[in-house]
Amino acid sequence: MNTTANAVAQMAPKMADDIIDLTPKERMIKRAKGHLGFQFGAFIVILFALLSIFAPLVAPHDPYIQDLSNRLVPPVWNAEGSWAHILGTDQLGRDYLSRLIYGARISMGVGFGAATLGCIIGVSIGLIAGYMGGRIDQGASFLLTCQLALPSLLLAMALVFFVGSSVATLVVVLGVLHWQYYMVVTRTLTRQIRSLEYVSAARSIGSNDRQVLFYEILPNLFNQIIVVFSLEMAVVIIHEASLSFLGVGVQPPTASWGLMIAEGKTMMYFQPFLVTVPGVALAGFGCKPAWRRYP
Amino acid sequence: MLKFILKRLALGLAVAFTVSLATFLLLNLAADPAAMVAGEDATQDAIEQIRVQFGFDRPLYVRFFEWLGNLMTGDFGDSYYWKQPVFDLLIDRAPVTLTLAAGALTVTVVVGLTLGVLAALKPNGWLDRFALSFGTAAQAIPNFWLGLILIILLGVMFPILPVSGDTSWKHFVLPCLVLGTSSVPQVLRLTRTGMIEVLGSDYIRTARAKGFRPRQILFRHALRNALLPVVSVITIQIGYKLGGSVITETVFALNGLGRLAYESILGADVPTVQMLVFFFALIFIVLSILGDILNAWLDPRMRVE
Amino acid sequence: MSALLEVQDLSVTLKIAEGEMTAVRDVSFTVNRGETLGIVGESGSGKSVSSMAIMGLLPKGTRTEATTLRLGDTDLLTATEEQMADLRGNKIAMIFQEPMTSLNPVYTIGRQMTELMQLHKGVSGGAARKRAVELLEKVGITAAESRLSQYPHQLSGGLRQRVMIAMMLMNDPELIIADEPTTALDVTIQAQILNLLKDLQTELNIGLIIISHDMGVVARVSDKIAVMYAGQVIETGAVADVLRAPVHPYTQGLLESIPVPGQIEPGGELGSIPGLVPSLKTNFKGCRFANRCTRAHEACQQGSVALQSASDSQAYRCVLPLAELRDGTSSLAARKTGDGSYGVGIDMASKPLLSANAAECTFRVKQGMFSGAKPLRAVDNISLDLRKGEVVAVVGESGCGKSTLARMLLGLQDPTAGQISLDGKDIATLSNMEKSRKLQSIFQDPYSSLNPRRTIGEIIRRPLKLHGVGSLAEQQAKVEAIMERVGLPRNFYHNYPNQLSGGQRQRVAIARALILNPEIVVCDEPTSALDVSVQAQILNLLLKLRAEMGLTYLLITHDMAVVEHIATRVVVMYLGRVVEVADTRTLFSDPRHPYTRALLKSVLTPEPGAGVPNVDLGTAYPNPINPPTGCTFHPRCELASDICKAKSPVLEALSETHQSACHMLEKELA
Repeated sequence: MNTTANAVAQMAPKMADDIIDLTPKERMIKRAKGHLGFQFGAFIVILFALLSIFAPLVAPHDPYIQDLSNRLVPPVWNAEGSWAHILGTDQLGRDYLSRLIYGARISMGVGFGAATLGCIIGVSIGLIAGYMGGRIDQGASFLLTCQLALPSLLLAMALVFFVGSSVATLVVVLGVLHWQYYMVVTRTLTRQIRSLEYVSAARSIGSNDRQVLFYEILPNLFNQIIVVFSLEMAVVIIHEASLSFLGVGVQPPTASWGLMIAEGKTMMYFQPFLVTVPGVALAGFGCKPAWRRYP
Repeated sequence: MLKFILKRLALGLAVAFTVSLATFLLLNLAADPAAMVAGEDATQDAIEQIRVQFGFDRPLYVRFFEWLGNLMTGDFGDSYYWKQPVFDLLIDRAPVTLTLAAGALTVTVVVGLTLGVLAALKPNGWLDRFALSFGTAAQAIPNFWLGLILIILLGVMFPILPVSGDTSWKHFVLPCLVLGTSSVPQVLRLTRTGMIEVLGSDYIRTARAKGFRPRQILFRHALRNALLPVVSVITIQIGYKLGGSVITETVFALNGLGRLAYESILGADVPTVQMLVFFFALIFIVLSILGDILNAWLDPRMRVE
Repeated sequence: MSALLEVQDLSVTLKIAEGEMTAVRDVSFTVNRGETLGIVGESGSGKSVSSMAIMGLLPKGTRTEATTLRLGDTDLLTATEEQMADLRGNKIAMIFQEPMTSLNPVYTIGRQMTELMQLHKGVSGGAARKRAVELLEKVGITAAESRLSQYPHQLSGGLRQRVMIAMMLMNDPELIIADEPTTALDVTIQAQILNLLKDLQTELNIGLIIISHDMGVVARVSDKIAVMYAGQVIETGAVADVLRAPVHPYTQGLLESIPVPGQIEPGGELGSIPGLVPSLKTNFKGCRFANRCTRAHEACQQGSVALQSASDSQAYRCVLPLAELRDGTSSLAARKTGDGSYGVGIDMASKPLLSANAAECTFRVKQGMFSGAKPLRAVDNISLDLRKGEVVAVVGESGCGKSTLARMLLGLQDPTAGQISLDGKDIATLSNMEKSRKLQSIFQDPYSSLNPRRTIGEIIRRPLKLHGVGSLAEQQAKVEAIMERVGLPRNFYHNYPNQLSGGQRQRVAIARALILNPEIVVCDEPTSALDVSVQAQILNLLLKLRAEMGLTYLLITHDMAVVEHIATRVVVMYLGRVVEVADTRTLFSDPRHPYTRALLKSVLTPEPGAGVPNVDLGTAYPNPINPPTGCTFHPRCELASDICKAKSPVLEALSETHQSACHMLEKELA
């Protein structure tokens, strides 16, 4: 066991009045270069984003065209598979790869939209609560406790189903229910930064609250907010898939990974690929790095 | 200590009230309860008739306080869909869900704590890397999909465990594993960071300077400090477990509260759904109060003189 | 008789992210029973790493090499981890810097003390408790029995350090290593703890190593001293020899950069060592001090320098001949002494630039997480005028409210009663912009006072941008001019704060404060986060800028030596109140308030063998939430009588420039 190892390792850079000759950006790039998980995650995000943007160009078939004579063709690695349908076809004969690619659109769209909405709500509340402190902060913490107490998946299911399933509803409902982590992170960091001397210094050179918030504090939060954003996006995508899987999310025949798993469920004992393939896609997207910096 | 508990209870009540209000408003605004009771094919007249008959034409706040008042007296309302008192439904289904939650929590705590502590002992060692990968995977893999895969694997290809129903303890093994795994990353991560921080702290250095052996330091000096933050996360995780039971119970066909909620949603049964949401929130509130009290007991700094 | 601890040619190589770093090289010293060795050095000199190496507490992957590393008859180099663990806390004990964090917060004092004895001696719980009570009494803790069931957070910093010392004595160690044992404590407490350590050492005949950055501490308690620089001992010997007749240019420079009362006129220039303490990651060739040494020549760059003996009891690490080194007091940038005119000619009748009028600030503080808020009067009815050209120092220990006062004067904190006025206008009515034109500030921690995301140029230019002064080109020209003025190279313009050292960052903060040409600068502990040699650079710079730009300073500090050097007037605060005000000369020559006297007495000048003055302030600093009745100083005052408990004294004028708040002023004179 090397307990003091950490202590000394942390101590090491402070020991001499050490100068790290790197700008913050260079340091970030250097860290990113050394972090395999980060590169892997970034690769996946970019790949999926490109796939969903250029879905019509990339997809080999129309994902909605049913071909009942070519139902349940297994994927190409199977003996009965064919290159015409690399990942086979589903029970209605639709090309699975194309549906997967179009499904990425829904997942990325809902994920990005809901994560952005949550980000706006959470960061605003966290920033104000952390900066103002006092009763406003207590109020925000109370709000947070209430939000944590609510079973969000259940509530999301009920709301989406009662309002009527659509991508827009999904984005709004999931976004409104996923602001907690942004808020916690933003609030904690804002409180920390607010007590730092450069904020006092900014005031004493004449900055007002708005200038302090946007020039001194917010830029120092970006890195952390982006980390939370990427993680929350994965969480929201899984929630969307869960809702679609239970039949209260995206409605057929739209392609969504969750829905595809649900549709494949009835046949899964005979054609497991119907379930495994979209699941791997989901998990692949969820496997993003930086999990340890998650609050 | 008593004052602390009372304050915590008061806060809990305030949260419970706010949550009940939010639930009621959200659900009643999202859906037109009259239309839902009347069913899809109902005419406009029929809907209006139901609206008056059930009192849905009264202002929201009147209906809310009526609901809350009834709640206080133990009247949980009647389900439109199941045609029986919501209270009976809850009592009927709760044991399955509570068993599931308890089992899943055990999985989370045992796996999360053990892996977290082991990972912290050698940061970047192979165990740490394993824990990291495990955590990432557990976070990335959707619950329902993991359930389906386990059903295919253990129920069909190597049939050793039952995959559907809730009649014996064996039925609970897979659901508990699935639901438990989903919360492992949070507990694991917090234990690991907490432990690393504690092991690097000044008082652990003191303990080493006092001549304690690594094992003694771990169990006698570090563990209690490292566990303090984990306690509150575990209470939050219980909340997620209850919410997550919707999926697990549906996948494994367990007849618990989650499945009840799912079926009630599909049946547009507002009274049952809002009662379930509130019930889950209430359990969460009670547990978080217990968690805070446990924390105060573990950490002398939080006790109030 | 052979020495208790013998260290010969100790080298320690640490593993770091970029590879390896030799933190300590060829360090040798011995400690006998009953002897005190002082190791002094600036941050990064390797002094703590050496002690961790003796304790065997360095992380895995660290290479420790030495020709000899021996305690008694145990060879510490070849000892197994198991044997080392048996020694630690038993034969060798260690006391750390941070008493606040060095005790485990979730266990009682009693448990933490007894477990140490039970571990090594296998005694019963009862016997260990008995010993714990005995030792707590020995370190001067009252009601020892009841302390055993208390938790660390219930004790003050000074008490915790006493507990720590008592704990480390549980097994009668032969050697105690104290790593900056008093750095985190207030000066009055520091004197008490040092005396305690010294007394215990003599009584129990223990070998003691005191590690400190503070020349004063080391000079007062040690028999022998080792001066460390960049991982090497560059001078060592009997404390009187090294401090009275330093040989190595670094030791000479270090001693000259410390403001010592009486030695240098206020306002004079301190000797300072140019440049920065080198990083240990540097690939050293030749003498490690060469790049900062004014006497360096070619020979210094060639080959490492061996330790040479200057006399039987003194050795140094320099290539120059001894006679040349001894010759002349110093060949470092010769310091200019003041001409006695410092602080003269301030018009005390002029209209004050900045004044506090019966200002008060009360916070509501929550003690526990869920207990109700209680009022804390951080600043209690303070009136203070600052006139043009003055350097007013506000001194006091932590918790006395001096920083709150500074924040109020800066308009960052509204007074809950009374008024702060700037140039005759109520500061509450002025906007941040208006205030900032006249009033600027320099903060304590140069590591947190600069926004890490902005370049040095952006940071210094920001005030001009906010105030819309001139065009971009004019602003940049102004920034470059001020950078030159505060001694920052031009090429730092596009650098980020993390690329600068602490001293350089403090220069950036100064440049930012001065770019708007303010009249008053509030300096909140401007040098306390810096190394001694850098502190002198910054103090010299502040003095130079004051003269050049006609500035008025308000200095918040706890360091009396700095005060005497730079201030023209001193305000002494205790628990939110002013207890004494006087011009600097009077305050230091004729302090009246018992607290001021105690403060002055606890200043440790680097006077070898002078011992630590006995500052008997009785109890610890009171909790500001429950201040004592009457004169808040009475529980710690030896002169206190009944009236002090009942009535709180007001400031009384003793002369035109001297005021003091004490009921016992007459008695003191007697």
